[in-house]
Amino acid sequence: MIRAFRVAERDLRRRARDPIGLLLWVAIPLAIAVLVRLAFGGSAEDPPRARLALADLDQTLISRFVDGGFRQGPAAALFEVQTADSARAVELAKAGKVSAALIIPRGFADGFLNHRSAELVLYKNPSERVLPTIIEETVLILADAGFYIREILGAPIDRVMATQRGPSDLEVSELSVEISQIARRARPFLFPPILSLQVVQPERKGEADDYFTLLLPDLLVMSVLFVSQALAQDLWVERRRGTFRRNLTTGVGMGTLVLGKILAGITILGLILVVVMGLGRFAFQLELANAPQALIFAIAGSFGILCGLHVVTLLARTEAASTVLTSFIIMPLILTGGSFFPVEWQPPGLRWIALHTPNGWMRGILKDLFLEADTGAWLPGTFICLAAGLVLLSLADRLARRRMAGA
Amino acid sequence: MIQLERLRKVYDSIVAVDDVSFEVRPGEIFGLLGPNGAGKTTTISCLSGLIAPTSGKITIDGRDIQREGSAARAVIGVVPQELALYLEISATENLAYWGGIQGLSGGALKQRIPVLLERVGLADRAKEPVKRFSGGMLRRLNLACGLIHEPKVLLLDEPTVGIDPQSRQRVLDIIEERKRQGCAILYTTHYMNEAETLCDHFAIIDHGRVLTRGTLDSLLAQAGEAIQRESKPEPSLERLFLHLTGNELRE
Repeated sequence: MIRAFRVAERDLRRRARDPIGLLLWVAIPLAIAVLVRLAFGGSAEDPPRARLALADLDQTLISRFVDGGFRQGPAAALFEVQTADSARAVELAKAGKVSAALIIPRGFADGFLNHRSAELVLYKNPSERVLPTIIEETVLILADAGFYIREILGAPIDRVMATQRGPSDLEVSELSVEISQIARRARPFLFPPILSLQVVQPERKGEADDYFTLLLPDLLVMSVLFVSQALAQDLWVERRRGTFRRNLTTGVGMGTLVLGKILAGITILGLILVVVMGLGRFAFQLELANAPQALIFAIAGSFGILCGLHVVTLLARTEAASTVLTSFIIMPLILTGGSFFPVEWQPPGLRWIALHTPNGWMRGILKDLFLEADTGAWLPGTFICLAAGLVLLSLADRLARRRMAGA
Repeated sequence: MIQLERLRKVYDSIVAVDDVSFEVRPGEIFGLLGPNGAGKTTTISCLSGLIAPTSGKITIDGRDIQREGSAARAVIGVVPQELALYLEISATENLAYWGGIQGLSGGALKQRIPVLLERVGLADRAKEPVKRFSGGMLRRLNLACGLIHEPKVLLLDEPTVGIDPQSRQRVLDIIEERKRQGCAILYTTHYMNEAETLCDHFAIIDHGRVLTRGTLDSLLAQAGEAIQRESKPEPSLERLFLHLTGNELRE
């Protein structure tokens, strides 16, 4: 065991002399995570707004109600409306500069008031899926609302439209009273107090930004994967340099050498985890719940991943093949495990896969710990990681005897 | 100190070493000479316990390398042909590691490192990362790492390849010094003049088999008139080597 510690100490000294390499491996996932999250949004305070190009060719009171439906009230937070003529509006939608173009044709009000067909034309941006659908659904709701308003308030509307110079003060008061009476009569049908919607915002934890709190597990897991790959690759670097062979001539067993390298690796990964979590807590003011438990679990998970990547590295027959093989394993894991595309955004099939990848599983437990969602899984998870790591370490030892001994 | 009896190593169907026997006594330098691919490195790998022989027996300081591997390897110092050093750390750290892994620690190790660095001419560069060293400096450090635990047996695989004359001379001086201190040394090289001046006994090996074995004088005498005729201006180990192994290029 003393020799394993000597091997570990040597590797730590080597890494200490080349910290840039390790920092790069941490910086890469940091940059990727931030860019991906920025590209796909992620902050709950700033939801994406649908851009709508609206061409009102009718220019009537009724058509302005449609326009106002997208600009007023809660809709104003969802839609960014740009007025244009019909050709320009369609052009903007086709060019992908707006989510959709809505054209209110001439005669729209006339058709609406006279119980004839009143058409609204919607051009959807073919490169977007969600936002144009939201606009389409909103237009359908507006059309339904228009139909019911026409049916319920048909008589007063007809009287207003019949006046040539606009309604007088007396007519306005009479209309108001009439509309109020209609509304009172219709109240039991229009406003049944049966369902109520209560929107609950998750409680914010201090000054922390939830977006970065959610980002942190991704960053930790990605860093562990990238750094573990570099550390495992060092077996082949030692083989190429002849130091592995020289070590074996001193009577140090293969198991001792592999164990020493794993001990050094886990020390490095532990330091990285502490530094990244510390930065998150103190530099970015993140409120990380259960940080000690998260650190213990993350170190155990790193041990499992590090041993696993040592096995993968040793399955290859050459140094180049080992680089390709480990990348071939790591990149799909990162892509499917929720680091690039958050698990919560994935379709059910992919989500199932994500939750069953080692990194996706690890990320989930870390996230639950940080957000205090579920704190029951980390301890069994720690033991699972340690047990899996020990099995993989033993496998790595056997493979190293085959790949490295005669090198 | 080193005894090989009928050593044989077969890889799949390729016979790398076949029926090789020799002995190296304390205070003796034994030159194992042969062209590339002759079986020298395989022999050294078997001697250092890196690979198990197919058959035959190897004894180091009275211990069977197969049965008492750890004890046998504790008295061996291996200086490989490649520069097997940790380039990121300093010469001192390299020596500390190789000494530590051989069981040295504390005061003994701390005392030995500066002495050895002085001897190989690296005392003034002791704290520098090894990756900044020249080829000659790396060779000298490579040798020092094999000597740090003061082994009784030294296995030197082309320790002077590709270095400047000053570094070579320093390496040869240190090897002579170790010989005088009673170390049994197995030495491989392609430099015949170097072997001539350094080694007490020789074996010339090719295709895994020992072609001839003995002192320089006895070998030249054995070669007889053939080598006498070919050699200009006088018989030499190099002429004998070419006479025995041929002029064909080897990879």
